[in-house]
Amino acid sequence: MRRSRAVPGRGIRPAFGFLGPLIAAVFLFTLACGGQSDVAAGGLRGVPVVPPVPAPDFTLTATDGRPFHLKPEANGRVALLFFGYTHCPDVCPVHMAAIAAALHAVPSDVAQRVRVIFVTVDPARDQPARLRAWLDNFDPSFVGLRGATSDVDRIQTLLHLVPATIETTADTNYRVGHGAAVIAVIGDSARVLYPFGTRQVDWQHDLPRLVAAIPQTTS
Amino acid sequence: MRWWCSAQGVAWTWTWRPYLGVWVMIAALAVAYVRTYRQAPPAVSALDRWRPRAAAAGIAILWVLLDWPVGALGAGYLESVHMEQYLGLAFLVPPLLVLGLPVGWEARAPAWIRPAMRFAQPLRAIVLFTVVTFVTHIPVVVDALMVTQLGSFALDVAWLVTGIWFWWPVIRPAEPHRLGPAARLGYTMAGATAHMGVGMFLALAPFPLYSVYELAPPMAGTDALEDQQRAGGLMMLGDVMVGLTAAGVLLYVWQREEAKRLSAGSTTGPAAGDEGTGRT
Repeated sequence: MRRSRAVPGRGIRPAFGFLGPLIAAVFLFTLACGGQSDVAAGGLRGVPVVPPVPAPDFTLTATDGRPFHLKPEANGRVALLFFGYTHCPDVCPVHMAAIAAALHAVPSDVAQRVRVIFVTVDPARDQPARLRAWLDNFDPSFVGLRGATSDVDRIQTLLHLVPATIETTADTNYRVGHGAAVIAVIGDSARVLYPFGTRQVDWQHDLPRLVAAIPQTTS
Repeated sequence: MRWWCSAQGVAWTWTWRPYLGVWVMIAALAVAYVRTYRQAPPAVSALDRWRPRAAAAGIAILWVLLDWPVGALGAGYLESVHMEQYLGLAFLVPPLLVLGLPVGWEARAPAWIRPAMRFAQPLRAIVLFTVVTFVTHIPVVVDALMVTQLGSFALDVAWLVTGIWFWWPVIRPAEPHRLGPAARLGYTMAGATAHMGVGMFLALAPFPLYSVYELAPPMAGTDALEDQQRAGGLMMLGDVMVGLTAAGVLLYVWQREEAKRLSAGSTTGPAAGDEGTGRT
């Protein structure tokens, strides 16, 4: 036999009374935080370098053994410069994977004008073949560079980055402390920093804008 | 020592780690069940004899889902493992635990648990179950909760509790909200298929939705977007399997009840053969 409710008003409405405010709060929170808010002037999600830092004019060795000179190679392109190492367990592969995915998602004319340059801070373990194979996991177009530690340190210093430091451990499974930001070089200067935490959607948002900022005279 | 699995942002290793809170929860559940079972009347049917096994299976699966390595992988590394946790906590563990409770448990339930059982009524349960599933898959919610032990714990408990509420009217239908066999079938199918939207949302998104997984130290051979698509596929597949399994079981129970009623000469009383009806 179906019983009637003993207490008036203790039916479905009180039980779900909390749902309306809860759902409203969640969606307001989503609206407030879920959208990737622009963090930089000009609508970029990266952090602008103010004032822009002159790009160091360096030459390092690419994985195919040829010299790689930044200035002509980056001319007419956005160079995304990153200092890392292939044994890195977290920051390096996450950055590379996000950029690679974004490059596949943006229009090809944008992707073609972006050059990703990975400079190893662990040349002892990052031999050319290993560096090439590791980068190929993300995108074969990524450039891998090696050089003397002193040269790489100097380049980082010129970019106002703290040079990488190698942990001193007894075995070869050491870690390297290094900067976690990708630097966007446009024209002759470093313009925007992308710290760790930059997501694929952020890259997809910013890459066309970075390409649009390439000076016409250099392209 | 950490008490619950959460995203830590450190590289994954296969080094065992203890999670004290999980052990306490599992031990408390096991002890509570043993005490409940000892107070129950002796088993009279074959199903009654299976109830402890169902409860033991539910508690064991719960332990596997929450503890290292599954709990840790799902909390901070792989969304697909997180989805397996969700499916287990919402669709597998709750029915086993509910089925495992002795007949008449409702009448002997501790007073503090009875207010919570108000939500184990069909309409309230399915709405809460669905709302919690949707809310706990909103990216900003996941990203905010999974990075703390308390938030991760809250997610796991929310899935488990709303799962219990959802499955209760199916397995232990009781007056005054008793669902007939056809209604139980429709209720279960509706509850399962309502999650298809979340699964499709994950599977079809063109970029990783959750920063907690996108920015997690990668595991060999994994890609954040592919892992998300796998998670979405798992959710859809899981919902279909749950819906079909539940439909099969409920149709079998329905057919058996009809056969019993017919063989009893069209008796007009309540359908015989309800398992765990909650009648005392």
